[in-house]
Amino acid sequence: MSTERELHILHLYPVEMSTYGDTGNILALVSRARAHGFVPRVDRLTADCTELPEQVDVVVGGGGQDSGQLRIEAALGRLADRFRALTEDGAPMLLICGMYQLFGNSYVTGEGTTMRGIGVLDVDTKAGVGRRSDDICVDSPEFGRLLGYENHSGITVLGEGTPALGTVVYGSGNGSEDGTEGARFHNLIGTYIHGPILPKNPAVTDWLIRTAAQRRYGVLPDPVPVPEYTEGARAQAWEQLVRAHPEFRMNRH
Amino acid sequence: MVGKALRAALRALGRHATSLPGKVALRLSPGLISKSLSGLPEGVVFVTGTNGKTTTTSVLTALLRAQGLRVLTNASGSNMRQGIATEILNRSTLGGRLDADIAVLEVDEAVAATLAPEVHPRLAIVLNVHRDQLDRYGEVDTTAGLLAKVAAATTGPVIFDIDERSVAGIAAGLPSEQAVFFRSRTIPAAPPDADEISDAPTGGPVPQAAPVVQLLSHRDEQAVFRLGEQQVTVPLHLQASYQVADATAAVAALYELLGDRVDTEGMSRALAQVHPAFGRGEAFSVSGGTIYVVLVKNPHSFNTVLRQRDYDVTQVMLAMNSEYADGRDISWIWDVHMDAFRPAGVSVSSGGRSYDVALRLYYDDIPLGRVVPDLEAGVRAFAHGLSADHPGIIFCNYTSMLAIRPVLQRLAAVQGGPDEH
Ligand SMILES: [Zn+2]
Repeated sequence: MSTERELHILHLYPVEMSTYGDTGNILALVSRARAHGFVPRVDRLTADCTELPEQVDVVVGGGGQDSGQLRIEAALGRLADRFRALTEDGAPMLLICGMYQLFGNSYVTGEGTTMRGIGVLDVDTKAGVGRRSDDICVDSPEFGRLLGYENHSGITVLGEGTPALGTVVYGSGNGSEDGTEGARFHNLIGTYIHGPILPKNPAVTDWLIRTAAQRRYGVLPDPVPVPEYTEGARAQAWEQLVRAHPEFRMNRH
Repeated sequence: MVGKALRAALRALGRHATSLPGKVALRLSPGLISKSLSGLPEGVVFVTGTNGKTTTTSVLTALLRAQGLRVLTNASGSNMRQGIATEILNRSTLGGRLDADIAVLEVDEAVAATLAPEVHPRLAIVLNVHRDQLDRYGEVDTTAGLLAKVAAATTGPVIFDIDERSVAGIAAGLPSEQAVFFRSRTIPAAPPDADEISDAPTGGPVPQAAPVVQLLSHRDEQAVFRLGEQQVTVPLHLQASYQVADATAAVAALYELLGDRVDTEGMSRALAQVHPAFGRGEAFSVSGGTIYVVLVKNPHSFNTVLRQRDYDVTQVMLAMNSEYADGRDISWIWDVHMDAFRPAGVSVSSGGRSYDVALRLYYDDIPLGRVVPDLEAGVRAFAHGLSADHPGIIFCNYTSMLAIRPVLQRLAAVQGGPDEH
């Protein structure tokens, strides 16, 4: 076995789809992969790619504008079978906002254009009235409390048998009446949380790394302490949320 | 129209720098702005875009005043309808006539899109479309659409920076005689950053037209402009490249408005008076040395400052809040090329999002001295640790800038006093 154990992170369409600081997720994955003793490699998928790289261990895709989503719709469609196979094989994936929508069945924009998703996730999204742009806080059974920001107009409905990532404590999340946020399927996470999500929520980052390590090398690396600033950033995010929304009562949860 | 007595009462209120009179007046007379402005003999100029509205508006106002025109303008921060209405009330006679020849208005992008079809500006400056407070306006494409409406409703020239890709698509949508370009870059443009690419999905190809006004050189606070066929040498104390672009936009508007009638002496006098405002590179002398304060409100303005190396960034403090006026979403700090700070590190991170910034630096392997969430304590810690060989620079966003200013003023006053220590 080589001593240099690489983890390959695939960044989906960084040019078209990284509007809300989502590149921070890549920095966090690279840093945590190193902290866990791996050599991280980042591959960027561009709209002209017709194949995935040979080694894919973690997949990350971010939010974009409607126009960016339209530009990659076809490119992503060509790779639908490859992503479905990766998902079935247990590869961990984090899909945020626009990419979460496009991994679902369909996305109907505010102008009424229907974009075909790749249907890996059984969710359907329609643009709602107005835009939801605010702090978000979600409780997830797997990852605990998640903190970040959401900025989207999508209302996402989960298919039967597709569990949510968590329950909305504050915010809109999937935007449907059921108070859910995000979706889970195999080792795939769909979510509206950016901010970006990973730096402030290392439970998710480390789960992606550990899941990838187990799939690739059959070992579950030992937990590694999180960066010292993490608690401060989480505390400030919570403090800002509560202060900006006096109507929100901390005792709700 | 608004009654005389009420107008007098509203004007008295208006002197207290509030937009309340404008709000009341607009309720009573929704067409107040267009009716009042339509009486101006030299018409209305709109200045809009994400970054640089305030600088551009104030430079153009100074330039036009030095040409002998009476200019109605709005102070920064009053670029919505109510603020503009308040300025109109302040400048109108009891009979309702405006005491001005021309209006130069800084207008918020969303307001400009609806106000331009009512006011029919004779000229518009469309500066740029960047990611700024996306949480308030939604998408960059939406903002570009708003600015295209402003351009379409303008009766005369619409002025663009020829090197500004984010508005090239808007310029391309206009009749070629209406789109007027200036160039302020004296060196070839750096390749666009990733943030510029994703900022500019509506941006078109580089325009083929020749710039009407061009900055030929700028060194030792002397600028040489080409206006049409003639060359003019003037003082220019602005340093940051984005401010130089704003000043050039104003000169281009002046030239489009007056043509060869521009009095270059007056132009020179006006530009000599333009100095960087607070938050745009204003310097403070404190006991440890000099501190510059630079307002960075989005990844584009921040990356521009870093890429152009406008400042010698060796002693740095970052001060970031996420109040409503800043844009509540702090995600944008991840799109700033902080690697410029890697060699010397960042001394202090402060503000309501100081730990988000600390994480941003940590995950990019950039050394950080201290996190001091309280802004006053942060400024003091930074000033205390300053070494005299290099200036210190505080990069801050809007509300953190407001908190920092009085602290720096006090520290600078102590420095000026007899018993400093
Ligand atoms: Zn988003």
